[in-house]
Amino acid sequence: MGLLSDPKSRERFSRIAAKYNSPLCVLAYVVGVVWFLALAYKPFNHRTYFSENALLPGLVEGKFRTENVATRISQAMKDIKDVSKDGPMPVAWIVNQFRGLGLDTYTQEYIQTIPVPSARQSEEQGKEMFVQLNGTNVYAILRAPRTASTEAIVLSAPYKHYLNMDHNNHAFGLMIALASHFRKSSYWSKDIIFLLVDYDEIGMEAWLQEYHYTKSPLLKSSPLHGRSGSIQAAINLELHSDQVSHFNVKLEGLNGLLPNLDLVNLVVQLCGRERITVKLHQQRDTFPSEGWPAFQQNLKTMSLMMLHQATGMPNGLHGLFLRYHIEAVTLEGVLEPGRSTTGFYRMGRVLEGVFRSLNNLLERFHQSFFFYLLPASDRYVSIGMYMPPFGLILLVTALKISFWAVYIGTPDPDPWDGEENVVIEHIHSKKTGDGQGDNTDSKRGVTKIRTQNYSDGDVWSLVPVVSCCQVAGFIASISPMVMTGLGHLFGTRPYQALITGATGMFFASLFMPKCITRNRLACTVNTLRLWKCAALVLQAIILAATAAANFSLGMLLAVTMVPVCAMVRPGKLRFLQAVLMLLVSPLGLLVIYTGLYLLLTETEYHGVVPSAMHLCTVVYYNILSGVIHGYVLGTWQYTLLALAVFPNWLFFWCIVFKKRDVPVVENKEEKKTS
Amino acid sequence: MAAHSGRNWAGLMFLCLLFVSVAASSNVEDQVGGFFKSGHTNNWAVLVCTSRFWFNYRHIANTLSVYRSVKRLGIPDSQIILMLADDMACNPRNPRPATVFNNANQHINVYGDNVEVDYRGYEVTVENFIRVLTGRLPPSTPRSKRLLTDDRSNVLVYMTGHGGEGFLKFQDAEEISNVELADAFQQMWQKNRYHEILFMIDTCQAVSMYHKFYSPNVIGIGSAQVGEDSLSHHVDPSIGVYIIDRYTYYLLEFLETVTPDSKKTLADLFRVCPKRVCVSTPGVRTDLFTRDPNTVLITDFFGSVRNVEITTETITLKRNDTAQLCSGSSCPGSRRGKRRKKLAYANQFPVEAAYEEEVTKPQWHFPMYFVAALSVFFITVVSAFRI
Repeated sequence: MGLLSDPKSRERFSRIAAKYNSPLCVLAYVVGVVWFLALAYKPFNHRTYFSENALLPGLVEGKFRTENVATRISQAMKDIKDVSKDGPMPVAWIVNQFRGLGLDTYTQEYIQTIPVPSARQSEEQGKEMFVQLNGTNVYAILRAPRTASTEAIVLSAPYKHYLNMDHNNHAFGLMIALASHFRKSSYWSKDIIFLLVDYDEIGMEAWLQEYHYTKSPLLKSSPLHGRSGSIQAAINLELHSDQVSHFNVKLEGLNGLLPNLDLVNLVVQLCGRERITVKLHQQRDTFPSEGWPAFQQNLKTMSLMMLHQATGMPNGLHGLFLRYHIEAVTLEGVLEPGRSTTGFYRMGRVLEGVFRSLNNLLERFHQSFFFYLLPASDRYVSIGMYMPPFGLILLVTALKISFWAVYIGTPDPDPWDGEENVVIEHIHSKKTGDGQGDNTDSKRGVTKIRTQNYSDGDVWSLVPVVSCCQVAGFIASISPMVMTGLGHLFGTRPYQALITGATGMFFASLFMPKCITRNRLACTVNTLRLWKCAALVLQAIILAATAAANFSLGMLLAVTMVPVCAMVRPGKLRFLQAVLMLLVSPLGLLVIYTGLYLLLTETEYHGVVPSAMHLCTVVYYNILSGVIHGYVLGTWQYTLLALAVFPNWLFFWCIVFKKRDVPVVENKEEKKTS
Repeated sequence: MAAHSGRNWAGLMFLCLLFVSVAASSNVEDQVGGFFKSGHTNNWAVLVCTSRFWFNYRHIANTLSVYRSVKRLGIPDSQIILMLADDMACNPRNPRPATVFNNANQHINVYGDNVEVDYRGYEVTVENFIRVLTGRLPPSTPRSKRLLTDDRSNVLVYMTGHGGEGFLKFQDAEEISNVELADAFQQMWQKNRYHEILFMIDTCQAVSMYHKFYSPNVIGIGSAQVGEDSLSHHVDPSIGVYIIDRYTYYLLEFLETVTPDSKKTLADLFRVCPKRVCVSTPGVRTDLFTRDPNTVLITDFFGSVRNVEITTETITLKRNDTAQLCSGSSCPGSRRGKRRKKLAYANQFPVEAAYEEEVTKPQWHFPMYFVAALSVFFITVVSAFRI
């Protein structure tokens, strides 16, 4: 024992924690949740500011005047698209545009093997297994005239293969216009890479992997012939029209990574300078910024950000840069009818300002926050502000752990499982118990003794149950691919097989408590307490670790799972407990949060049944994209859910349905009474 | 009287002595008293910009602007130590390569012709700065990089950069504290390296840098009080940086009106940047300085101006000791009066001494017990042979 720790005070603490356990738990949970929600209110969060002195945002006057080029090029690209319809990206034409400006232009071809078919192909060919997706990225490098190519910044845009919709030709037009403006200047201290990506994320991933010499077995690509230095920052551009009403700034990247707050500030500030409205998740900043409506709006923006971040899927091409520690954001130009619009001129000036500021950078973004939530484009909640409420919510779990830990090895004052537990009552003739700490109770002159096995709980009983749960989790994590393979043999649609794989194990393992009961694992009161304790410890570890990596995911899991899991106990109100547990199961949570997301974003309500159908469809696609992105882009959300959260949940599920075994009773005394 | 801004102060000194040695009458000697009223014979300037990086463009511009002014007023490059921690003119971000401007109008390129930077880039360190001030430089240092002042030198020390209370940051790695700076000035005083110092600093909480001074004949001017930030003046939108600091901007505005024969005094200099325009509150410290700032010409520090007056009479000169200039408690000891023995600089880098010492050391060491054991062995062997 350390000299500084006082065992008595610790004892006192655990006694208090045990005595006032439930009120303390309720208090911690309520305070935690209210505190967290209050962070969206203006007085409780902070105004964003620039930490990086080198950026010098907006000090330089914009000189961008080549907006005509943007209009011309985007129109030309649209014409080509109209002719070629669903054809490939017009690589030669794009290369010519860049070459015409005198830039070093290169192409990169790649072949992505997708372990499941894309929607279009599966409709056409039915049972095609591993489809391959070909694409060609085009990039051009503007070399910094007065310095070595040791650093670079990227302006990227995806070429979208939509049939009827716009395919981002406006972004390409603006890119060419900016390139023609930038190459006239002599003040670049970093190379500028203009990158047009074929197919959204996959093309970006191919280019980034090749640029950083990382390899993926599913992605083959030709080497890059032209290179620049280490990429400091990237801006990804998506324009829906040549006139936009606002920029939607997208931040959430792969696995919940966020770009440095300085870069976000820079973009927001420069948009403000050119009087272009900035929205986060299509949510406008409120004015006035205080009061109840503002709080509602800010909370909505923050919730949407958290829901996006929790999925771990990038909502723009910028998300893939973040894995390489390249700060990046996507600017999505959106045309909202009935609003005043902005043309290429001011959009170009915003981007020019952003690039001039990035050009001033002396080192990578490192000053400002990497972990934050944004309730509005100019307000932030940093990690130091949102972690305490999260800690309070986890405190519920910690309190419960200490509560059960205190009671392990003591008799049960109130049997958990009333009706199912066989309570042995027998008359005891003058003789006290067998020294195992019986609970004696005098009533009408006779002594009733409830005898149980009061040993400290069987630690070894944890091994089979935890390992069973983990095996179930492991099967769930690999089953989508296994089922796709099996489904191929049986002629099932690949998507259906994949969904069956992802959810099948979940439904199958609902029956696990049955199997465990049959095996007659030793299950006295103290063993169950031990189980509960172990499950809570596991849960606390999993949630804390998840929150450290992807706070939104950790928070959304904690806020629902912690109270339910803290309450469950074998026996009483089993049906209600089962319903609650199903709600906080990984699948249940997905449904709940998808519903919440739809509630926040959808403006129209079509009635119960269509909404439910819509919800099911969205959940279906969420599972699909979660699994597929895990293979293609390397998101770990599905794996995390399958390997950690799901087994832990299953453990609690077993506790709910665990029947306590009949305790061993002294036969001698039984005979006497009978 | 002829105003003369020459290069070779020693030559001028000789001329002055020649003239005054010819003069004789007491009437003329009174005039001579007025002739030498400033007490200095040569002017030096140490101009230091301590910060690097493109966004600190203004600090380079500050320093180069002061450099331009003191050069215009007659201090030659050989008597200016210019320390610039970064090279803005050649920064790839500079839209106007090879220039540094101190004004958005861009009418003065302060990095124009004949800019002689003595310490640049990573040479600008606290160590080098203190070595330059105190003269403790390696023997190989060229004369242009030395501060070759004597007890008749007026030194202008101008510093700019990022500071805090009691320190000034050098580059991004180190800082000089006000105590170190005060000790450096005291060393200079003890080594007869200055006559008077005008210390001027433009940085946040600037006045804290001269609070610890205790050497005589030092004036401190700072651009901001403790707790205040020293602010930049304006942005040049074509270069995209803050181009000059407020205090230095108004200082230059003032200095541009000064000519070598100007009669403006230090009291005018103290008023260059009132709080109304400076936003920060400039501070002055004159308690170590014995003369009245109202009578001290600005050109005593910012120029290299010496009186030359032709007389036909012979004058016998008294020794113009500093003991007369600094009276009472401000003079720590009257060591100047006692000095008779020829002084020589101690070797600043004791490398050779250490080397010699190493060479003269005995090359072999035998422990006593080894020698004893060896002799016992020999005795045994010899006695064994004898037996």
